[in-house]
Amino acid sequence: MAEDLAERLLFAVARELEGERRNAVLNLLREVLADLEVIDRLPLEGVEPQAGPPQWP
Amino acid sequence: MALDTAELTVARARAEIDSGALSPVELTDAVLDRITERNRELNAYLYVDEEGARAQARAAEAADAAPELPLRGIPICVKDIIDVADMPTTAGADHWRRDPATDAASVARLRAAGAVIVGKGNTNEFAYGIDGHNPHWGDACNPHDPARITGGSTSGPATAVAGGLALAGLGTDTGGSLRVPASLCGVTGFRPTLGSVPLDGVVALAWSFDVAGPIARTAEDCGALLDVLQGRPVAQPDPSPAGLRIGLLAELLADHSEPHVAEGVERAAETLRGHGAQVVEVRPRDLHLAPAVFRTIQLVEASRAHSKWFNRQRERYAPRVRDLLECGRLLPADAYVAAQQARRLLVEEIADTVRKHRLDALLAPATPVTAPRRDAATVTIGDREVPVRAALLSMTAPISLLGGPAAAVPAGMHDGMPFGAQIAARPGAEATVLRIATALQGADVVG
Repeated sequence: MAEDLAERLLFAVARELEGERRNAVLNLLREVLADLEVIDRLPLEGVEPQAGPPQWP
Repeated sequence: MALDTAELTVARARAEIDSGALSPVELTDAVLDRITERNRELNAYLYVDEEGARAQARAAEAADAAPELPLRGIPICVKDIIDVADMPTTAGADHWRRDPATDAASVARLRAAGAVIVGKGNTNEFAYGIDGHNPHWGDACNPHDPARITGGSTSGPATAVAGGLALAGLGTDTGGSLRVPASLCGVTGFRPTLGSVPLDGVVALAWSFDVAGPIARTAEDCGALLDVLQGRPVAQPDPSPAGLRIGLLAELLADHSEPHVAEGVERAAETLRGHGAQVVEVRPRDLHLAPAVFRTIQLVEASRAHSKWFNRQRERYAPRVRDLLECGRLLPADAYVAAQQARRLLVEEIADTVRKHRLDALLAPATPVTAPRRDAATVTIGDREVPVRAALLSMTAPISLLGGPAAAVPAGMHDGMPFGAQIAARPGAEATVLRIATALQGADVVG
């Protein structure tokens, strides 16, 4: 997910923003992409997304 | 002798009001005097309704005021993302405002319990921040050292309580917005179980995590407000934690907190052992991934919450908030769903740790550091330079994922600045959290 996403996101930022804001959002996005890489490595296959308050088993 | 509102607790004030030693009008006047003296320096309040506060205090004092009201005559500061009738809600922004005719449901409950709503407390813009910075109205300043941050986003109510400008506050907590300022200002903040306090009339930030809750000088005071906010009495906490099993989140101590904070939390654990609790070290797998999961969900939900306003006035948001919202609106649904899947995994993992060790609660630092200077961009933890915001969220955001109650209570002082310990438990276990928090507060753990 993260590799494909990185390309799309960085393109979108370059198209929509300019100057200082573009750099700030790009830096933030790089951090978020690193987060997504971490999430991507988890064994999420078949896991139902959390919806609403967690009920502890 | 003048009343010292910086030392007075809700419980003590209620007892004195009941006995006739203190009147609601005297108390409100003392708080308003304190605001006059110190709010220019501390910037805890963005709006003060002196006339309204005095009228509420007079009503609380009137002969027909119900003496059994649990918060009769108690002056309270409400975070400015929560509606109070006839006071502006600005959410800490200078480009957004509403003028509600009715109270938020949580405020209505406090008022019905006899509380005196004094005014609106400072906050990060739209509660989107953990440091307490507000470029529009100025930062709230830490009463222990005004050159240092208060933490946020419930910065104003935390400052007001710590400085005696209110006896208690009402705030919100998404990733730590009650617990972080409580820790940095040396007071107690309580995040209730997700969904247990109504959020009508509160500006949303991230629905998966948003809760409203109290901030006060003691756990006992937080418990009194919590009863009212949840609309039902929390079971009276046993004054002793004897017999409880508590898991110390070891990973958050050694590698991710300053040594004096880790020592303070270990001292708190020792205190609990001394009271007959069993404290065992636990290391749930993947806990370190929690901030990434939290951030992804919050980014997307906050951008959605702001979509209507953001498109019309993005230039007027504070730069940091604007960048976060820009970032969130670019993330695809796939990333959001993956983060919610990861959240479920983490909750199951921690619940499994709790079950395996037969734990009643978890113990960790509330913040890894004491309050940084207001101009600091990073803090040093061990040999690492960590951005202030990431550091401040690192202890509380993982707990926000779990959905249960959590409190930050004072656990020590370092170079004149306070820091807190955090207690968390399974959803609905408010009484357990209060029981442990009360034991720590009663035992002089603050070195």
